[in-house]
Amino acid sequence: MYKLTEEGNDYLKNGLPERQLLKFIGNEKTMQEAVKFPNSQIAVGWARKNGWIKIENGIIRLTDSGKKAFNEKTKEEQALDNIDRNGEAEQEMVKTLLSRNLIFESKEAAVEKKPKSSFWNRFRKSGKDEEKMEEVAEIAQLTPDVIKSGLWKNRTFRKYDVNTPAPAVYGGKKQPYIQFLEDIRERLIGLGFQEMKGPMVETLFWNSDSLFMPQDHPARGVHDIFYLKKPTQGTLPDENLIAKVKATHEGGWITESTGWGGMWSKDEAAKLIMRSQTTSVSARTLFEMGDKPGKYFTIDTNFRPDVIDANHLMEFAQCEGIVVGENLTLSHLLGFLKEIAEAVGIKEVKYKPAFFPFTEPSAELYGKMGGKWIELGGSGLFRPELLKPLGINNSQVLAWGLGIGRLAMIKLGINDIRMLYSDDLHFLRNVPMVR
Amino acid sequence: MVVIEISKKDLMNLIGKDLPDEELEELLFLVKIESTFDGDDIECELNPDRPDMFSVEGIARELKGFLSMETGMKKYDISDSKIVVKLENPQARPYIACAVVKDVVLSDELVKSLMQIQEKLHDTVGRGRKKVAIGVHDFKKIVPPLLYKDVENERFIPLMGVQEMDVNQILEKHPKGVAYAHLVGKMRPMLYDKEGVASFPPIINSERTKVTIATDSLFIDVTGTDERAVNEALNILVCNIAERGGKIFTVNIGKKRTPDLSPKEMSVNVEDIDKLLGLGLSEKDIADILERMRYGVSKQRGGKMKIEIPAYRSILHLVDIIEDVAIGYGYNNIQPILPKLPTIGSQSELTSISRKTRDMMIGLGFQEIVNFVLTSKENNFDNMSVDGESVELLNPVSREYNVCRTWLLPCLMKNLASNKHREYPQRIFEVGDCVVLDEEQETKTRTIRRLAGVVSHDSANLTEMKSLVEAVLRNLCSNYEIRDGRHPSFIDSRVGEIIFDGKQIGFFGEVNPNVLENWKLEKPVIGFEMELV
Repeated sequence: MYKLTEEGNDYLKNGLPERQLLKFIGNEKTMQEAVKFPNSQIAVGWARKNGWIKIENGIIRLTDSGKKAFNEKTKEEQALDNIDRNGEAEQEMVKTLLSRNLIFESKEAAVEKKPKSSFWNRFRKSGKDEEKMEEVAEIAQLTPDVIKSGLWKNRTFRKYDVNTPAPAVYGGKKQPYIQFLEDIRERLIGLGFQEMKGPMVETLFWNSDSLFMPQDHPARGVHDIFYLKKPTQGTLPDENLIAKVKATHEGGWITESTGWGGMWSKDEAAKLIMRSQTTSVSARTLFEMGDKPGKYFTIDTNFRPDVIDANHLMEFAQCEGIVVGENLTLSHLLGFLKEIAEAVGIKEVKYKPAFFPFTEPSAELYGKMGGKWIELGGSGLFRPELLKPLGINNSQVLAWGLGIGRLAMIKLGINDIRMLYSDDLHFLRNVPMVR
Repeated sequence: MVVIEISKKDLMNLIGKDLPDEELEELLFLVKIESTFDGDDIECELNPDRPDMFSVEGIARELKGFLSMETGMKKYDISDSKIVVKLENPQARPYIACAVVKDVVLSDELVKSLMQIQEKLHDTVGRGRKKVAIGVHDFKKIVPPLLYKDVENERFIPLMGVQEMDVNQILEKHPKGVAYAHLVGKMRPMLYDKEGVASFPPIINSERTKVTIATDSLFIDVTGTDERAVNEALNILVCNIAERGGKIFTVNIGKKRTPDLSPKEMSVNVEDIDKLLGLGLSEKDIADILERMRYGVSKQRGGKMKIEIPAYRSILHLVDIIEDVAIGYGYNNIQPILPKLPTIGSQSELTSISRKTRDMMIGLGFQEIVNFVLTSKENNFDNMSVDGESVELLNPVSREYNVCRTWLLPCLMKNLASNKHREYPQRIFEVGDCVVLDEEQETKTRTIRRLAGVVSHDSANLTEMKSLVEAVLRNLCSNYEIRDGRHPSFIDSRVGEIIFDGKQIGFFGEVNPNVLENWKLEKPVIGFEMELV
């Protein structure tokens, strides 16, 4: 492992003396002029050795290879560069650079015995002997020995140049999208929402039927849902619930709805799919909790057969929640939407009537971000055809979902949704924390 | 979402009022239509619950009400055409409804709009013509009586054709036949008049009865597998055509008469409407709004209200009408209220343990990566030199994502493979969900949360991994045990098993060079994986 000396660093930044000389000479210079050039002896020496210049009658001229060298890195320069990056270079070059005092082995002792930097050269030139120099040596690294021996009391510390690049440290950190989702999760918990969970592989029953989506609904087609080759059929929950859902779909049951008509098929409902909406988790929660007042949310993964591009993923996080309580109204829904928008940092909102198969009335939420109206999500009051079969008899249920991926993209300042799942270590190591 | 194109000039003519673009756009937004203006063209995005607005005539009717220019339920004149369609036990598409509209001015606007709504109704209400298919004919070319029955074969000149074809030829060669052949079985539904075939639903009409510039009366047939949807589509069509003038006539189908434009009636308590909206609306407020939304309203005894639902609307439940009241009131006029509903927020157990685990891994110097749950069979098994079973997709979009991952290490190996040009050492981890098969469960699967980490640099070895794994285990569970193990992804004598509560919950080791070669990795990799809960 080698490191650059101060001189080496200087040359890395400004070019080796011979290269500086090339630029200085231009077409030609007299020797008298050339002597004024800093480090002229070193520079002229190496430039001649490289065959870059010719000196005739006290005039220095560039040779052809000298002109060529203008645009090419020399082996020395490349090696200097490599050592600066990796601490290593080919052995021959290491020898040359060591001989030129441009690099040193970094395993050196705490007090540099022979720091062959230009600093020492200057001493040599001023005629002092090396013995004396040892005594006034500066401390490079403070060690327990140096502390205990008190050596530091009559020595000075070698000056560090804080502009010298230090090796990068990355450590570990949270993936940025996770950071964002954790923030959202925390804020929803702050609003009194309780987290719910459900399986990723679902029956169509929970994913669609229990939400009163008719069995021939286009959103149940192969363009909107991943069906499974293995396993294909799941088990349906208790018979009682199935009978109610069937009756509601076919003719409305006791919900005062007309229902969808036609025949509702158990086999169709038992088909297994990759969950296409976390609303299935809300349906499971409602069935379990009944009329008990509460606020629930989930942030989890859904799947849709989209071709991946800058705007689409086949797998994405959705954030949604429900509020269960007696006498809840559309005004309350809009109240919650405003509150949730505020929780994710959006002050100005507006609402638009909308349509979702499982809510009525339904509303879309728009928020002003960076001077523009952005669609933030959808919401509504769950339909009675959904609530009654699940055992919600006396309550209304407000339901909302946020387009969390889009919000994250705005927050992270990215315009390609694939970046939310990037595995590029350069990006992940350097991206600042999400605020 | 359904997208239709309309002409602004046409819409303004139908409404009888000119509006600036911005005002019209805002107005459309308020009735659930997102619009984009381009000169005279307006592209409208509509919701599937309002098929009656899939044409400019329906939108105009709605806006006239919204602007209070024409309110209440629209009544269309209707008389009997006395035309009869005889049914001979049709089984393939058992339901048929027909109508005649006379004195129609077949302008370019109407033709365009009629073709558009026919196509959109086929796609939505008609579920790709399966549930509903529509045929429009020149009424003057229809020679009654008509007959609707199933046949095995038949010959006629299909629309836009020049020569007679039989049904099989049509299904094989005619573009519409090819597109919809999957909807037809051995017995084919056929609508005849006295002269021969008028229509072969859901495929194609006959050339003989086609609509031309000279047409001034239309005969419409709608067939399908769902009676309600068939009638709904016919009602929408005739009402929307009649918005431009024209007179509707019924047709006798067996013992029934279609179209039936009599409104459905609903008797409701006024309080029920406001109960869901929380707006404090009076009976009069509600009645006014409903009339603007084109419902018929009349007062009944005992605080009840009779609502007449126009025949072109499909209303499942009172809540659908309640939403119209909210739309009529204006969503942005509603005062948002936050109800007092004190609850205690909390994260799930799974989230809690995942967060703590993440923090711990980060403390150990690992960078977090999030991968997809979907992966390829090749990555999940073959490239790791293991066999196994997993959830498989029936309709994957690409070979890269055709199964659910059953463990995390393959994903992390893929991450290492795509970061070979980045600085080493590399330490990465994931806390994520996997799906495994489980016959016992309702979904025949279990979603499980796992933790895995890998380290790669020139001198990575089992000792380093063991130190890391023990650091993880010290934090996760107090009484773990480590013992020698075997795992095909790792070098044979360099694998440890993690035992907790007598059960193997994970493993760690030096990744087998075979596996490294599969991933084209050139530096040693050590890794561990375990189930979190």
